[in-house]
Amino acid sequence: MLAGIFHVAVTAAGSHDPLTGEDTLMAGDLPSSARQSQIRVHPAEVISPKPAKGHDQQALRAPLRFNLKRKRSGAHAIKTALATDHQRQPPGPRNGLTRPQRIVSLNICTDQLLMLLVDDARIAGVSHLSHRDDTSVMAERARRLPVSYVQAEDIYLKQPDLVLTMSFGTGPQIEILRRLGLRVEVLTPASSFDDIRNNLRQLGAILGEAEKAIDLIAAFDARLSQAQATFQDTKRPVAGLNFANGFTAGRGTLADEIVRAAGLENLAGRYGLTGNARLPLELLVLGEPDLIVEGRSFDPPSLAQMVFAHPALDHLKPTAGHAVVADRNWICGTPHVADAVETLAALAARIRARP
Amino acid sequence: MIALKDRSHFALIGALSALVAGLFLASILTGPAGLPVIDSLQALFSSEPTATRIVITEIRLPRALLAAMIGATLALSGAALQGYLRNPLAEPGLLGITSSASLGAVIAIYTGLTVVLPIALPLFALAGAILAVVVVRMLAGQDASTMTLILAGVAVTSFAAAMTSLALNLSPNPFAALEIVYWLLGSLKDRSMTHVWLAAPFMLAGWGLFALTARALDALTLGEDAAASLGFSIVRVQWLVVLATALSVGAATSVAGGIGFIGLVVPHVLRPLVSAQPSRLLLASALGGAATLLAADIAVRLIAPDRDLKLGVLTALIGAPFFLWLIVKTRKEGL
Repeated sequence: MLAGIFHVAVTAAGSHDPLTGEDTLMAGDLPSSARQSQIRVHPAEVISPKPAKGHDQQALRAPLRFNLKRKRSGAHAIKTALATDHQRQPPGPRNGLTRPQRIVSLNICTDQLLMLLVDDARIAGVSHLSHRDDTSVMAERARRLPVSYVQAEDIYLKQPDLVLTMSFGTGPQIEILRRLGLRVEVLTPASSFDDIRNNLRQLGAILGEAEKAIDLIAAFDARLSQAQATFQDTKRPVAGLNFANGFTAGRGTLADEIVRAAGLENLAGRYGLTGNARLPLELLVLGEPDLIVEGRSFDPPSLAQMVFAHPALDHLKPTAGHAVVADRNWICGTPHVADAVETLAALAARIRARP
Repeated sequence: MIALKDRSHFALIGALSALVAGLFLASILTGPAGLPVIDSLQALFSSEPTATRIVITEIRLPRALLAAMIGATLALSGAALQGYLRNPLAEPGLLGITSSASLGAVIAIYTGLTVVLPIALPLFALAGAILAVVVVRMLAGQDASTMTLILAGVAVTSFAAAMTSLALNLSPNPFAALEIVYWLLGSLKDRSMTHVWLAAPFMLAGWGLFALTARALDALTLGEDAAASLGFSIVRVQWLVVLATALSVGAATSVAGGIGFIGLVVPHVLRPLVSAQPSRLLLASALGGAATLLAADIAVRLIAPDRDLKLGVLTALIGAPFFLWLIVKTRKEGL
């Protein structure tokens, strides 16, 4: 679903991310320099992370400036609890690693990866979408954390020693923050399980939590193989993914991998669709899928999601199974996508059992 | 002479009807699935619930029906407004009626009202449309010149469009902001019979009211005083036109978004063919509008099958240059 949503955004409005309200108007293309400095993950780097020298210095410099500022203006005494914690343990190389202590995340997906890897005390801000139950699986925990809006000034005033975001829906603020001397790390949105593993490893290295990342990956892989053990590859029911605005997820998307990992065949594959692509309602109906998978509608309605309620689908639903997978379960490439795999695998098993 | 005129009028109506029928069929046969023609036609009349039948009757038929009805509505209201205001540039889109109807529909949908009360959709759009007509009339005043009327329309259009954008930007639904494009440019993608049943009664009622104004519009070509002396109540005509426009354009916009320029172009093209007689222009425009929008809707599916090209883009591509030409022409004639 996640992929569907993102996809819609990309096609319909350039690089606008519909999930980050504020980004809507300001998000241009990712600045080319930011794109260039995106970290490419090489396995070697992952295993023994050596932060770049520049980053190291920045990580040291930023907290210093923060302390000065705190002394000067009490108005900016942000999150006392965090600050005291931070003063108790000055950040810096530990076991040869940098461990950022005031991390601001700007994207719902980096929010969740971050929360999986570090304690609340080290998080200085998460995106506002993380507070919403319909978009975040970790909303309850996220609501205990302050919101950071995507405007550069709001982020800068939090004086983070690390800013995290995805290379999607990021605007000029990333460039501004870098020019102001903040350390900004940009992850690439996951479009496969391998990307999820890589992002976890990469972020684990950045945060100095490499071991935790490895544990998370192991737990994720265990859940996946457990789900895969429930079916043989012989009979795969066909699933039609029907996302907002009539989009579907073809080959090379995370949603496609989730569907196939659950023992289903993706209808989009039969039409040769790759990436996030439009699947006209006509073709969805004519494909006569065994299962229709759609995202959950957000509460205030929108036309984008009215395609779920099209009467043509009512004719299919009695014969085809019908699943609603909450967007939050596959909106982000996190280990939580295993929830979606398990849900779909259970449905696939029920369809396979049908005479 | 009169008999000859009648005969050519019947020929025109016949030709336009045939065109509409042909384009309607073409619309049903056009789609990404590329179904064979024979299968499609059989499915239209069979009762077997095959996938082909679902595609034809639940996806393509409502689309063709709406294109025909909405095209007819827009051109008809353009013809009636031009006749009533005796103003060549009058048209629901230019007078702000379409964008105000969009605003009404947006409020009804994105507040969640239409979920509990589907009829709120055309009703809110209708209210928006009435408001626009009244405001434009007030801004421009009685016996408004072409330019004042258009300026009033521009003001109402910009305001309604801004409010639509504001409402959609403020909606907590992450998709809403992207739908500004739809409300400003219009599309018939993935419409269903539900939309047809919702909008058709209002559009038909509007057409009925337009028909009632036909003879008065003929008399109005002589001027308001002359029309009044012939026994036509100007106030009654005014209310008929306002109500008919609001009913039909409101309903049309509520299910397809704002589609511009059809109400401007179609009556102008057909006017010479009906000897500039407003009553005859009404029926001819309705058919012409239906044919135009059906053709436009087929074109968006052929030009960019996987892009959801908006209808308003296509109508504006033809309509905007035409509008400029009209402005130059009216200036030359010193109107």
